Amino acid sequence: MEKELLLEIKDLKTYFYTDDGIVKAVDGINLKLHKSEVLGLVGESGCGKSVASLSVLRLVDQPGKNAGGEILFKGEDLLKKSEEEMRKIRGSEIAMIFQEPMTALNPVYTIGNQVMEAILIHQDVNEEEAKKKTIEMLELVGIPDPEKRFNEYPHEMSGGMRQRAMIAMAMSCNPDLLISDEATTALDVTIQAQILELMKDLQKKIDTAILFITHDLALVAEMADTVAVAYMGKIVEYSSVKNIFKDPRHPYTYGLLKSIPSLISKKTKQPLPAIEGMIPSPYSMPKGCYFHPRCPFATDECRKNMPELKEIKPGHLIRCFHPIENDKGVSK
Amino acid sequence: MKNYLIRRLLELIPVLFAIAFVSFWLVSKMGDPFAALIINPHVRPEDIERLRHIWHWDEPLFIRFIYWLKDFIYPKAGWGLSILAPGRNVIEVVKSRIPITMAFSATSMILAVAISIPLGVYSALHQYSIPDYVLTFFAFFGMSMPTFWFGIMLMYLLAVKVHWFPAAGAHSAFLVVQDIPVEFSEAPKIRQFIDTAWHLALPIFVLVVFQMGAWLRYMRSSMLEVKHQDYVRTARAKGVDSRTVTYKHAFRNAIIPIITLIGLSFPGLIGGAMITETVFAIDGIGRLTFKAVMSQDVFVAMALITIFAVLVVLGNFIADILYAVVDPRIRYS
Repeated sequence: MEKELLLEIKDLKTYFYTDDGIVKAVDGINLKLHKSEVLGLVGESGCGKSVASLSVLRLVDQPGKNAGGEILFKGEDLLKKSEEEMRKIRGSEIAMIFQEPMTALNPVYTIGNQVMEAILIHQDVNEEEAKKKTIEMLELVGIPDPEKRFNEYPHEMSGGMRQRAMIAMAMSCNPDLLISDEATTALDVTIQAQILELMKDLQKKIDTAILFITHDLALVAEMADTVAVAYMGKIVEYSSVKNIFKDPRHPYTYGLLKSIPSLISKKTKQPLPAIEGMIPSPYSMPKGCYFHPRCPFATDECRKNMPELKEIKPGHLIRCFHPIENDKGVSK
Repeated sequence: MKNYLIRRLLELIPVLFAIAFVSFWLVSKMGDPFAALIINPHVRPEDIERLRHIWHWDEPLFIRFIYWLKDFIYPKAGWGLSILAPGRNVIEVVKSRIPITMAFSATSMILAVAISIPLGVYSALHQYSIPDYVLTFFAFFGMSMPTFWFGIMLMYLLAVKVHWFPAAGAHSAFLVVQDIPVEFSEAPKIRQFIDTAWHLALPIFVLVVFQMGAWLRYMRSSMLEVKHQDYVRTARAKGVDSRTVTYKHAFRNAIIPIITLIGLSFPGLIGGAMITETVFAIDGIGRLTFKAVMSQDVFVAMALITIFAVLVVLGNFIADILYAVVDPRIRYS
């Protein structure tokens, strides 16, 4: 059963034009997200996943610029919209949650004021109704005593509570798409689990699609239906979540999965297998496949040409000349 | 908050006491104010001794200080041996100079802040644009121009070369009212005001240019820092329009350090005007301080130093309160 397509990113490029040269933070990303689905976007720091998400809302700051591609949201290209049309979409149809709940809320305004602002902008309500709606939202995201919390400042709340307030703000206008950019990274593990639970819960209630950005594959397994693995501004593997854990084909994905510490492994005293080397400098990208300097299977072909993103079986795409052949999955 | 204020005010007392004592000690090192009388052939040495005794100058420093403090708080008629204003109450002498200094330092400070804040915001929002470079150049020009030199240059160009402004003084001696020259104090109030404004235009301009440089830079960098904060991005992601993002979300945060600085610059209201007053021959507090120190007028100098100290301490206090008012993260309890 094919669901309705909500967001389609086609060959999106976002480049940063700095004095030292062009940084191709997002270099031709293709993604598809269906209605009320969760798509995980995974990668190391600096792989362009945050910039990609900001590009969708067109919030990339100078010197970052769109350098091509299309972002089709409900069939319309967001890159062709005027700033005013974009402003109306932000917060109402596409909402975003950021990584740092400590800094993502304005310190000089109350939580209530900040959540209410989104409602007042996008909904045709007066202040009293907006306040009522805000308190409802705060309650919905599990903030105890919402009437009192309404008048509290961000610094009076814990990180988890702040992130809940952020979610209340994002969800207040029932968006079709929620972009969560490392929303749980800054929280400790128990709070992280609560926030994830809350997001899943709301996703079902409000029927929102989520673009879930993280560096943590375990969270993707928890949250996402499909997953895209990004490396240096390009998607290297795209598949359903079940499939990617069972049958990773790209050496990078394979390396990422291998480097998750395991509690039940017999070899716990062994050093954790890590991907050799470091991500290349964005100012001097390697020729050919960007991953070849770190790839154990690299050949001359990889050093010369960038492989295309190819479908190797239905719903499973990879960008590699020498996909790993394994049917056993990642051995732990 | 109320308890905090009371506690802070009580804490000010020993601070002021200590400042006054240290100043008193320093001023007494300036020299013996009675020594100058020796060269006066009409004053006998025993008269000098008697004066010394009347003013407790023969007592130890600390006792002398206590007498001074008592007289400062409860001034009696003819208190203080003032060389600048013989026979007049020192407090009266100082008081008479305050209005003119306040008029032109307060005006220049208000103007400088009021002009610099919007310009600084503009500069930050249009970083690396031509207006930004022009404003930055202007800011550095203002900060690096010594006020005495800039004042003299303006005086030379605008008062001596072309007679647009008077060269010195706070007002004219005579004003022509209905073709009859009358003394300044007898002219209509509105004429007095216009004449004073005309006289103070150049010194105010000098001070405004000097202060604006710093305020512009503060506001610009504060706004630049805030512009890229996460919460500004959050506001944009919410669909807030760019005007509201700038003025509600960014500006409100950027102004916090500026407000503190305004509180701290309070004592500059009087102190900063010293050079400008001297250059433009305006008889205000600044010029009086300069003269008092130069002529070893211990009592006038002490009174002025104490007033400066009170302003510094008060400025800090006001800055603290303003800080708590504008930043919800600061709550004193």
